[in-house]
Amino acid sequence: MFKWKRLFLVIIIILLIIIVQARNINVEGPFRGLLGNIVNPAIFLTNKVFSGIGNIWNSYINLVNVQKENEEYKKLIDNLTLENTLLSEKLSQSERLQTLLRLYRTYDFKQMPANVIGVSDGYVKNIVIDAGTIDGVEKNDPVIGFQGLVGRVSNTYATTSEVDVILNISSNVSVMNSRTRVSGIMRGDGKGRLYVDYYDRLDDVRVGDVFVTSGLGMLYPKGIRIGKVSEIVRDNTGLFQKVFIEQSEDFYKLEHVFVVKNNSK
Amino acid sequence: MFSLLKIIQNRYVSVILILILCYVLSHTTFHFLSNVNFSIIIYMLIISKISEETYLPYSIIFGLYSDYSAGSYIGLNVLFFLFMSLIKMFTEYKFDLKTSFSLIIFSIFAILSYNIFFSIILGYNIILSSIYILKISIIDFIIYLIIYYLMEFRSAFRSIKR
Repeated sequence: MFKWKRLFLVIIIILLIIIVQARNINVEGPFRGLLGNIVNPAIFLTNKVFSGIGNIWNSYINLVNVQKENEEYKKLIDNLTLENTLLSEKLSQSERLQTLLRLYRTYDFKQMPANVIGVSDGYVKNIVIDAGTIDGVEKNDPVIGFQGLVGRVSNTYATTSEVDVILNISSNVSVMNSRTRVSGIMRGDGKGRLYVDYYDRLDDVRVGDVFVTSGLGMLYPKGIRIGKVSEIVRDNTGLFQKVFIEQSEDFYKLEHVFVVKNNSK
Repeated sequence: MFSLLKIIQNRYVSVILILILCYVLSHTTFHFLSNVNFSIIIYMLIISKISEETYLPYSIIFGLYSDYSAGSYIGLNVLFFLFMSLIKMFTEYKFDLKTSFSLIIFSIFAILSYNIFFSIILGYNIILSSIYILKISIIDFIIYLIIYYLMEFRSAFRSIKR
């Protein structure tokens, strides 16, 4: 005989939990924090291990190629290759840090640097960064990269945080055309593209126009670059037009980001 | 050491560990796996183990994992997996899941329902995103079929050896 009572009890408990969460947005429950604090360090460690293995493998491939090329100069070339790799890595790191520094000085709001340790490109498009509540990261803090806006912090843990990128279907960022100053609401279309909705049909938007955050909505600071217009879709009827944007930032190749701390908070 | 091994071999613990492993790998080196919904695939792979005794813990494990990965309210996906388990249990007399055909039909239904439910939770427009949802469902289904037949072959070889 099937135990219906037990099932109904579980369903009622789950419904109560859902109602509590829906009524109190800040309530996340112990489960998410517990799992996040276990899983995110594991992501960090796995990332480190695999990049280490990748480096060893690449070094091995380099070694084999050099052996085939010239046995006599094997040692010399090995050393030079290694040195060259280290120097190029240092050079690229220096360039990245210089760009970060330039970016840091560009905006007049408080920023906190963080490294990207995990990326997800499924239904939920997010990244995991190595800064958490200990570092002062809070939920809904905006996150920016070298090229512009990345997203906002969706979940925080002790030493890590999850950032929902603006490609998400529910991102809803208030943006404006930097040339015509007309605003709209931007979100992801779920297929990896960004589009601006509720954009005035009469505005003379052109392909190549740059869109930036408008500062409306109080979540994202004003003036952060989003990207350029790639396509404009006008229906025969309606008050608005749809503007597709080619994002400046490649979210899945990000290595470093800044968490923006709002001074007004 | 032996007790740790015993814990890992527990059916629920092993499912939790597999799910966590899939989540970690899809967020790091095997980034392309983030398009795959492991919870429904693994759920379909262990569907034969769903019974009156096990359906509650399994639904909670798979549901909580899905809720965590979706960042949605905790509990929504638990309800989905409870619903799926009930369908499985009450239809298995008429709908024999030991035959490949009925299993395929059930897996198509489960995977498609999961993807539709998951996308609704995340705010996707079902009509506008239908092709995307269908594409992901097909990927999930193919991966499920591959793993299912690999497991079948393995068990067949094992029985031959015996």
